[in-house]
Amino acid sequence: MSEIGHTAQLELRNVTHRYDGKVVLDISRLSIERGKIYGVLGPNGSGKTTLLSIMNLLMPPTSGQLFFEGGPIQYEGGSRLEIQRSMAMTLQSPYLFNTTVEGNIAYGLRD
Amino acid sequence: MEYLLEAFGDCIGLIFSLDREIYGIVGRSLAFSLTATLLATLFGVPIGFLVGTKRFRGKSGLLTVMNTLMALPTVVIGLLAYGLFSRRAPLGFLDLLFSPAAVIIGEFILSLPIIANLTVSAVQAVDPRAVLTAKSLGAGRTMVTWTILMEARFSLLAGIIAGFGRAISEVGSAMMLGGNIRFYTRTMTTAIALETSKGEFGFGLALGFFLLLMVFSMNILFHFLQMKGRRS
Repeated sequence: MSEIGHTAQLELRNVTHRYDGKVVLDISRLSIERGKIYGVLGPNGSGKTTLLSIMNLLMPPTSGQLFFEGGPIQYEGGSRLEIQRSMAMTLQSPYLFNTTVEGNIAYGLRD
Repeated sequence: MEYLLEAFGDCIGLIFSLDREIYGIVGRSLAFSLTATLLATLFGVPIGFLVGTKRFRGKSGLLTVMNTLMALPTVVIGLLAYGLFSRRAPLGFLDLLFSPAAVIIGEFILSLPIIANLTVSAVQAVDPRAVLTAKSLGAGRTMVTWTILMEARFSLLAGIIAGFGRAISEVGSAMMLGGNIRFYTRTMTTAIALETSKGEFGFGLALGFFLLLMVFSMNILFHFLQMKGRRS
């Protein structure tokens, strides 16, 4: 993975995540830079999905801080939603809402 | 067997009699039960949603209590509420005893655990990917909540129907809290109990058929709404 970068679009600092007290993710620093393609490799249970979920702001880390274009991301009543709406994530197993095709397609456009 | 047919015939007769008292009882039963169900939905769905989606200490204990409350005997509710609303009781100053409001409160207490518990089951059955997908598409907390409720809507409606069924069919608390007052708090079930105790078994049974017919009609309506929701 690419490390450090002052122009990082997304940066994780001292991020850890625990499930039921067990540490599943521990990253001191990770910078994602604009225009680059990254791959995350690791065995089962190494925290790949957790890392992607945290990077996609689907859940806050247990500890640590995320920065978007240099600014810290606030989860409660902050910038999270605005930033998240500029991201996209395709789940391993996609889900269709129990509604019309239009409803599914337009979902992300709703406020 | 003959008396059953006779009672059914009487029931049909009652329907077409357009008797003011009968239709008053039917209207009152529906009004009380629908109001109680509406209130129980307003409280039960949020309670069930929170319990079903949040993780907190004592959750399994709370679920056990909620499940136990589903089996509350109606007479016990009547007794407890009577103890609260009678003249010298803590809430006696509200003057609610033997009023429609007291009957509605009793039915509300009976429906609430059913709607809350079935909401817990409904939201827990929603695919976790629905929440992840919603969040990944930029849904805020309100939108995620709405999405979960929409995904669970058919099960939620089934829970509300079950709550309504409990409210309209109960007799114990309606009798104790409403007093079965003619043209005021008399409902289908209390009228059936009264007529049977007077020896008017046939008339009571006819009212019973009428009640079943009414619940059946309400269920058809709910079923129609479910089907309409599935198609849209």
